[in-house]
Amino acid sequence: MGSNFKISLFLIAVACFSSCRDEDEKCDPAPNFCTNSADSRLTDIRDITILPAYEEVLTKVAELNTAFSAFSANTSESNLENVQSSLKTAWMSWQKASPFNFGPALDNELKSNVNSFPVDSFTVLQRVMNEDYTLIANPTKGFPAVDLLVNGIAGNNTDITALYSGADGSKFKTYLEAVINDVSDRIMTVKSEWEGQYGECFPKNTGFATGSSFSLFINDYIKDWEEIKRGRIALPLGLLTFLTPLQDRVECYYGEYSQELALEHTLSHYNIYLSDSYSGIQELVQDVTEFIGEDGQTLDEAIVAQFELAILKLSEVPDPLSETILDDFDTVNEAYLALQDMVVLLKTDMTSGLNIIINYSDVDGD
Amino acid sequence: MGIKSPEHIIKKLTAEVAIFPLATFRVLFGALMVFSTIRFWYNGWIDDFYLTPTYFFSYFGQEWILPYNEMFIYSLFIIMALSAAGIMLGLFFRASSLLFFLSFTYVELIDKTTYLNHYYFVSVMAFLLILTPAHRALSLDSKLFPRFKSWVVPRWSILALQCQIAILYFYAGIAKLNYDWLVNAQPMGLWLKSKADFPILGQLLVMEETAFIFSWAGMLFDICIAFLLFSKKLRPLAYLAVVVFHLLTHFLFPIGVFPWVMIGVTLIFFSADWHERGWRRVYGFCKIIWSSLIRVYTSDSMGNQTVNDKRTTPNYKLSTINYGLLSLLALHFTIQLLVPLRHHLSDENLYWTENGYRFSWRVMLMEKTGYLEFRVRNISTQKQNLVSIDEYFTAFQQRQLVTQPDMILQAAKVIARDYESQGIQVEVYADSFVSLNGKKHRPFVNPTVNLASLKIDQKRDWIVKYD
Repeated sequence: MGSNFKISLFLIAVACFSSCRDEDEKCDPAPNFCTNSADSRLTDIRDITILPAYEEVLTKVAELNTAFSAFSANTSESNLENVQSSLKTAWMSWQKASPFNFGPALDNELKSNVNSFPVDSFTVLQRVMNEDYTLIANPTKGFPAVDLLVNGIAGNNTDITALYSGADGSKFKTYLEAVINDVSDRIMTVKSEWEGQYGECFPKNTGFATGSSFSLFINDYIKDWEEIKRGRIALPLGLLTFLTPLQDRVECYYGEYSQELALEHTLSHYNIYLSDSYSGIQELVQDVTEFIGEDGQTLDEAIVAQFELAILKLSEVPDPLSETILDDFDTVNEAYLALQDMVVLLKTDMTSGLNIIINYSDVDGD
Repeated sequence: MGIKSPEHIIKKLTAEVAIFPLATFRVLFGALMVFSTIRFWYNGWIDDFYLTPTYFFSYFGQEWILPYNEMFIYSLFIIMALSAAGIMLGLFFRASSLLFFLSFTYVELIDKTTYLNHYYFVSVMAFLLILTPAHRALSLDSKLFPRFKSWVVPRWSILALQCQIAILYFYAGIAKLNYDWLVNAQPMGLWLKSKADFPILGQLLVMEETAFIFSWAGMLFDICIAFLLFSKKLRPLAYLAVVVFHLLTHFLFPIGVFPWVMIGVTLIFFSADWHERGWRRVYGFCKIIWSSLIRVYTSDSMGNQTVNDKRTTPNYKLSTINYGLLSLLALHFTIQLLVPLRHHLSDENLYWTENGYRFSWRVMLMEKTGYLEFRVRNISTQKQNLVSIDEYFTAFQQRQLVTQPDMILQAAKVIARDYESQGIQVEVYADSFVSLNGKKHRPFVNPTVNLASLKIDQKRDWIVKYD
């Protein structure tokens, strides 16, 4: 009995010691896992999905900057058109970088600074006129602010060009330059953090538990998908306002290619899911066996089919979305429903199958 | 054996036994609760769970139990920590244990979201502890009020705690006797599959066989462990199983302090002699380091007086048999035995509608994920509107809300009231889906039922049947 007592005391001591160590890790979600060995799936997610997305959008924003400089030096309609098309390219490539709003992107509030809409046009124009170029409140900057400044300050390109070459032209140019630089700087900061310590530790924070890299990645992947459904479709369509459409709530109100952006966003989610060149989410989902859908459909088949449907339904929505929501409620609503059904698959079946806890918060269970 | 007369049973229950197991329990339980309270605070959960939310999911009839304000809720936690320390030290024990029970239980009753079986267990144990004379020795009280000092306690005071632990394990085991758990090894399979990166054992844990072994071993452990702990011969082995089992759950699942609580409290099954030796060892060990401090704690005569001397010379005479107390305990255990069975009163699928799921020791039994969105219909215009639960509830609340019918109903009422306060009379509908143990999601709430019109204790026929 005496030795039993010693053994149990020892076990308790060992247990306490290991528990305390574990607590420390838990309390510090920042990457302190750099002693672990890297998980190849996470390395691939970083190198093949996340970093290239930031690189691409940075390149496109740099091109936008170049186009802007040309327009600034030589304010002509054709140079304005170049700025407009560079904006579209850059904004489209942002859709691929949008789903990673954790880690550096979250710390630097990238998403809310780069793509909060609708832009507060009144405040933007007021600040331009007051020559106040510090960018403060989020709805006065990012891609939507560029959209306002290059597509929306007058009814057509001739008039917009005229404003830029007019008395207040330099004010518009200075504000626009500040907005483009802000977008560029923010993405640059996030990208460099991904290339630095965070990126180094990301593949080493393995597993599926709350706070693990994969859990963060999936949580934001789903959250970002919900934003397509809710922020880009349901809200302008009036589904949240007793069927009163809100035309200016679309992502790209002045450039009038909100549907294209939403479709690109959806495609980028599909590509992340498929991750053709490496074993990513799809391969994990293919291992899920408990899910048996209609006609023996696997979870992967169900998700792929739903992606295809969402893309199809969204393709059928013509731009400008701000007009379509008034003219053709049903078509937009069908796209909404397809996006919505996907949320259910992702949020219930996929998280359950992969044992990922949704809604990040570190908490006990039993 | 044979049937014993009530007098005999009462005599057995009130027989005097050495206090040591109870004193160990008191110290460990108090210490763990101090730790647990500080940990809760340190993790920022007081803010996250009791100050951040706008609405709380109250228990039926307990709507007045609220955090009120920062000052109030933090004071409660301070009281909780101090009273837990009081339990540990045996200082003003009756008041301490009562205060701890009240503050802890109050906090647990604020929001269903935070319900955990092990919190319920703590409440129940604290309640029983109030009734026991666990402070008669090896405590500051016995030093401050030597008049009440006693090395013996009535047997029921130890037996009650043992029985409560036995009920927890036994019902947890019985709950595992279900098809999914035993035949499909689910949700264990789901849980273990994500453990591939577990140090060394990862590849072993993800094997299907492991899920079966864990499911069956867990079930057998829960059902048998209390009986084994009661057996003098098998006790050391049983306790080893307790330690191994709870350590495993600690390393595999995020269940907080629960494993430590169980490893600590099950020591009460050991004999008084065993505990006494333990106390002497701890005393001897501590004497070297903190001799002055510990002298206050254990009687300075302990070193040279035998226990038998003390047993024969209790400073405090136990009161005559307290029939009121014994009746209270009888009532308590009757309730404890019946409450976990209450779901048999309804024909619903327990895992689906969760009617009678809480307070029944159904520990880590199923995996549910869900999706929920509310729809309100303006009664005068008949126009519909989607309502996101994000607008009303915290992420933490949402996680519980999406799969628990009674919370969904409460949430619907919150939304209806909110619209009403803006002058809009609405009906509230829910579009919701739930996946149980990894199976394909099914519709959960009947989307055609106006939830705002239901009574809060409505029969759960508004949940789509699971068959």
